[in-house]
Amino acid sequence: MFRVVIITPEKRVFDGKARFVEFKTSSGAMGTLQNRAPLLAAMAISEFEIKDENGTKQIFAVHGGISEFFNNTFTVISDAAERADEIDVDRAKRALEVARVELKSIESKIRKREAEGKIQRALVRLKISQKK
Amino acid sequence: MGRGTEQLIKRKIKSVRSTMHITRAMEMVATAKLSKLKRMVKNFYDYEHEFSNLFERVLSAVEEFTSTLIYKEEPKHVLLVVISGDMGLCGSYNNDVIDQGYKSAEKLGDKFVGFYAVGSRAKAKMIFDKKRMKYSLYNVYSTPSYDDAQSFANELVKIYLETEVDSIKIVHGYPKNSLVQKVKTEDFLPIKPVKENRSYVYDYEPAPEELLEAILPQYLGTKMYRIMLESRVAEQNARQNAMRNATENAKDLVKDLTLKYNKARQAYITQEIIEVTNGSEALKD
Repeated sequence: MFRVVIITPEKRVFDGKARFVEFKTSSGAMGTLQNRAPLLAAMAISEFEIKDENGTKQIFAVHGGISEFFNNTFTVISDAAERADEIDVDRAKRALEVARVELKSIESKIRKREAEGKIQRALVRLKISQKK
Repeated sequence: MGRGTEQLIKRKIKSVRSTMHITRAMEMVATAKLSKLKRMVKNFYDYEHEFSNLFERVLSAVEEFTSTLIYKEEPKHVLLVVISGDMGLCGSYNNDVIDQGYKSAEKLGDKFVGFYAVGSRAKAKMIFDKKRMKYSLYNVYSTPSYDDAQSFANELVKIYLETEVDSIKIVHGYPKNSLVQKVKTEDFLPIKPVKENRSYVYDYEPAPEELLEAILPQYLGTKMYRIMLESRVAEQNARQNAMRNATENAKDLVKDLTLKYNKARQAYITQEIIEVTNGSEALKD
């Protein structure tokens, strides 16, 4: 068993014990149990699965950021993260529409990447919200 | 002295009272906003603390910095971002920030390229003073969100990469305590790496150089969000103090005016009594 903490600028989304976590880094999917070697990883915009002390699955949407496994504590620091059942599906759908329209009209590269990020976030939200 | 003076003072009292109502309401609005902001700041410091620890750890692992965002040589073209509010009625807060911006610009001399004015106060003052303002952003008045901070940080990165600007400094207010608001000039870009002394062996996913590249935007977003939150807290503190002082002053004024009004009324009554008695004395003869 090890400690998992998910922190966003707004609040601590999760702070508790886990048996197993499954997540995606920018270079691929990973999972970890307790007593892992220290790890620093860049997170992808993806789902984050925690199997907590009772063995129940908890699913989160994590929007990028960085994570560290050290001394049996897994810390995820992300711009935004939310529990699957807290996701506002209508809002995610609207955001997806807006971002898609935006993407067509933008020319600058950085803005484009921003819009693509928005689309990715909305897609992850929608996908995860169906899993709860 | 007649009824006229009395009426005049009465009207004055009424107008001061209604001003007092407004300033008191504004003080309460500032207090409410402040308590919300303070909650946000508390949660954010937790996040920032953890993030900067990890960021330092990543920096220590990187052997050679390839990113253009990292400090390499003394910058020659500096852009100054001045963060003021969109609204006044907060004492000298906005002017303090703008003055500090002007001073920093003077200090930079030839290296100074221009201002980026944030907030309509800075924009209006810079236009009035005919300063070199290259960019401006206003109507940002609300509680700052992380997304806003991130997209503003991204915009600054874009300016840094695509124009002659090779350094960006930010002038902003921050609260020393609830009564004293300070202003400081902070480096935003390029990033000066601070390495951690201790070193642990980590697995890196991906390699440290790529990892650093991936989290740099988040680092800048976090920094910008802190700056935005701090300057907003400072502004609301200043507004709360200014409005509290205004309410106190109005109270004193009402007290003085009421005294004056009562005196005028007494004088009028006394005069009337004298007139009546004089009149009746005259009739006796």
